[in-house]
Amino acid sequence: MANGPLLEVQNLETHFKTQDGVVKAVNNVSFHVDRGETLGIVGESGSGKSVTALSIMRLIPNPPGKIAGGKMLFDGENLLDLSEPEMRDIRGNRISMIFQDPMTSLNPVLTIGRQITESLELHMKMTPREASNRAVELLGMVGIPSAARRLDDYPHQFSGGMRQRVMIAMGLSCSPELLIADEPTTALDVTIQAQILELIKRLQREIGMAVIIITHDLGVVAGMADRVVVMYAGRMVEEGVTQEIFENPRMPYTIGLLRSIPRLDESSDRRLTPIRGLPPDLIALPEICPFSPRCDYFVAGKCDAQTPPLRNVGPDHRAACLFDITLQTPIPETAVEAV
Amino acid sequence: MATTIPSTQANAAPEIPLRAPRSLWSDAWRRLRKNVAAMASIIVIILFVLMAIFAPQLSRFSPITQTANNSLRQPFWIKTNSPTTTGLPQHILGTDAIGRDIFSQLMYGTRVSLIVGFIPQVIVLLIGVPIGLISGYAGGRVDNLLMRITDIVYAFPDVLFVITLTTALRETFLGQAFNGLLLIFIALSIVGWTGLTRLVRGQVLSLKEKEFIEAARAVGVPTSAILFKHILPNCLAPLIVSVAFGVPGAIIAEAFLTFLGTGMRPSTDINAPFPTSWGAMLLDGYNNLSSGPWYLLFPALCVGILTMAFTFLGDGLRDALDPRGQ
Repeated sequence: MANGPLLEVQNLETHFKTQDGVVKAVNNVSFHVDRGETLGIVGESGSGKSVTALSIMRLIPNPPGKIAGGKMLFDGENLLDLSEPEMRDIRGNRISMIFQDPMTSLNPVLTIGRQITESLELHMKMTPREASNRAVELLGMVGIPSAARRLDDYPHQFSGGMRQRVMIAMGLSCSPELLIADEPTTALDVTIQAQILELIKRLQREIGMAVIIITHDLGVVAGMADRVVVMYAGRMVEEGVTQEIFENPRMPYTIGLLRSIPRLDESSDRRLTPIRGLPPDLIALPEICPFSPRCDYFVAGKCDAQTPPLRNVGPDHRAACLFDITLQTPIPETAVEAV
Repeated sequence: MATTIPSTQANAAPEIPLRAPRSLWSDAWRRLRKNVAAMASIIVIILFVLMAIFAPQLSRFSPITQTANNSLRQPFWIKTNSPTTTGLPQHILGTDAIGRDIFSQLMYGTRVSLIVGFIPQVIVLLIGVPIGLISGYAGGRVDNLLMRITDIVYAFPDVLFVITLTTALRETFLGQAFNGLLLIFIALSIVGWTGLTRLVRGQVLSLKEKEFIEAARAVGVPTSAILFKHILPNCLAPLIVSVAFGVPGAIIAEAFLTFLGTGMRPSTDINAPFPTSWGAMLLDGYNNLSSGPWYLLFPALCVGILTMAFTFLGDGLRDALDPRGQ
């Protein structure tokens, strides 16, 4: 096994051709995931989180989508250089993925057992009998009672949380090195969310896999991730250790996100401040800070002159802002008036 | 002590019977069973199938043996003054112009109709389903090319095509194999696959965008397995309905072609498995219409009953497989 990070994404560019022009859904994104660690990718809808995940799996529908540039080194091997059959050997085997909506991610006409055993037979070359024994084991692992009896059940006989457990069992069936969880709890209610996240954490410890958890829920990231990547408009705008991101965010977008959600460790009379405006159109993105039109700390002539590069603002902490803005920086008067 | 602690044995939780896993198919079957017309149709179809299989055992007479002084006999309940045409109990439905027993002919004719109903459907499935799957899943140029070919075949007048083909190849080996049935199978299949292809393609177009297909791809399932194991089972319901409606169409087509004289050719071989068909009988009956309506009526009734049975079954299947449609 090669040393270094398990997955290293360098300057990833994923574009979609649409009628109105090329959408740069992922724009110059670089991050890495170490073995066994959990990386959180946060951002609002359309910020490129899911496209990043699909790019890693090389599941971008083509056309209209295309990975236009960059490298994705998985265990030292560039995933973009692999042929489709080689890639299929990796999918579900060494990298697997859990999808957002468990209600639609299971095939309604196949039994649960069939869907779990499929990847076992495919990747581990198990016989149907071995595979179904393993499937029972897996369902037990993810906490589905009387698993053996439920193998012949169809997805409609499971609740949402149960289905997500089944999806996780499928994802883990071949003990992957990397699990990509794309908003695994978005479609579930809060108690089930907590159970599912706890389950992922527990299984991660048992298998020793790395996890990329994609979410728009900062609470999920706070509880799960070792490190966080914040994405905005297809770009990375901040990256750092989770604790650092929450205690000392350095990008106004991250600061805005944190101000817009309630925190248990704060006085309850603080007003939540939403981020004003809307995310930009990804088709005609000028070379400015993509967040500048919504930024409280906007400085004319600077923020609209160039796209701020990620720069080191602390140990293992990078942010894409030209200025040293922290949670304590007062919001300039002009911005408040503009609201 | 008045109260006794019940033994653990007695206290054991009662066995609650668990509901067996219910697939979409068993659900559909339950709904179908409640549909009287569909169930009656199934019984009718089974009767016809049994008749076709056991025709040699059930018929008293060979369908092709011509008996002298026995022609144009009326059905058994009609008595005439002439001893050569009055109804006889052994010839339940009478005899035709050359003295062959009509009931025996009808039973043997069932074989042709059933086989003509099913074999072209099988061929149509084998052609139409893969083309539809590939076309829908591949998209882009492949889809365009396949769909234009489909359009061309679809646009061609199919009756004209079938008649032309069966007439042109009638005297070749192909036209003579299985009393001309092989040619009918081929002709009906060539014109018949387009509808199914379009149906499957439409299903695939919507199914391939579903998340569970993306999930299957994320597990590393090869494309062929995605098509046949994940997408195809999801289109089975409309496919089954389409086949159920296609069968009566083919039965009528054969009867119609044979009636026109370009279809199946009646055999004179005693051991031929397909000596005659309902279409051939319709033609005979039409020619002898002046001697009595029976010769036309019986085969026409059979064609009607069998096609109606398949249509009702198709209706029932559609309702059973797609409960939202009701």
